[in-house]
Amino acid sequence: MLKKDLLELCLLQLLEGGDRYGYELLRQLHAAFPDTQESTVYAILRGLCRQGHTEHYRGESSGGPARKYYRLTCAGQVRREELLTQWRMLCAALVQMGVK
Amino acid sequence: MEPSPYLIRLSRIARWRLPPKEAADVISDYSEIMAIDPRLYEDQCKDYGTPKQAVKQLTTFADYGRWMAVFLVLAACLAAPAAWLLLQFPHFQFELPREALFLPLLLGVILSLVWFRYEGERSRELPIGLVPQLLLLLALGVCVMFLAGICFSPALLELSGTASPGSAGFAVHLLLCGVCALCVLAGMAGLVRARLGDRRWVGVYLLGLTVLLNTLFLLSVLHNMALDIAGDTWWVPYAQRMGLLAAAGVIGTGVALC
Repeated sequence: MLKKDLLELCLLQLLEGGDRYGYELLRQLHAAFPDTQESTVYAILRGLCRQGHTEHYRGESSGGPARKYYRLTCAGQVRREELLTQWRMLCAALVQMGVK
Repeated sequence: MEPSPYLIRLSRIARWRLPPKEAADVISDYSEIMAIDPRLYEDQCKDYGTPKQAVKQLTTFADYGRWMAVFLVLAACLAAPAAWLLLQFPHFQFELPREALFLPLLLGVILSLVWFRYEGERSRELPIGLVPQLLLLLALGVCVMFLAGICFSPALLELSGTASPGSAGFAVHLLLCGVCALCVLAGMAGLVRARLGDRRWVGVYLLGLTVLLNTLFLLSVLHNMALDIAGDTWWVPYAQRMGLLAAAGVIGTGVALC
């Protein structure tokens, strides 16, 4: 599992919790992975959109202009499950090797 | 609100590297982000990466490779004939295969029109500066044709025996080389601007290419060592070919502006 897949899993997991706008997603992931630039996260988010794992719509923001919100699609939920399985297997393998 | 320097640079790079629709989408997303998070350019570079890095991550090899191939071919249509001119400086001992001048024109017209029709964007209003540049190139083209008319006229041939043909010829040669340089610069700028903004800038590229090729054609006729100018109508085939080049280029430019 590459770091890109990990970031992808995090984005899908965040969207599982509800629709979010782009900047919110970028900030949250940048806070969790400070060595990863936000443009990298944005590129992964666009990739997810292109592959049909997420979709976007224009939504109202409080007192500001309309923002682009992202939401998870059915394909995105399947992808999240796949990545989650991979992550669990990786964790199990690491524990087996004594990495805690 | 003024766009931030980060957004300005990112927009330029995105329009160059990404297909137009995707570039517009990325610019819109970053505009939204920059509006929420307005910071200094350096701070934004620290978190987002430089604009170039940001766009590079979004670039797909196939899309960018296709554009680069088209750009190189179109640029070569302009640069290769000009390079031919430069390589022969100052003697011009080589004979230019004049029919070969139709190849870059046809390639330039067809490829640029097809590519920018599908991969270009067109704004509602005419881009600022487009008409003056087209008029300037058109004026240069008319001057070249006028000069060709003077060179082809039998009166001038008679005059050249009494006037100073050496210095006049050198002046005409320099003038035509200057026209060629101007056409290459204008054409390249038109090509780049067609990608970065309105596709109708390709009209400047096509008109630049047309004037360049016509100028080269005239130069090659002036340096012609063939002994086919004995008859009165020696110039007719040359004038016909120059007219054909000009007509094809002007029609192409007209289509590009639609």
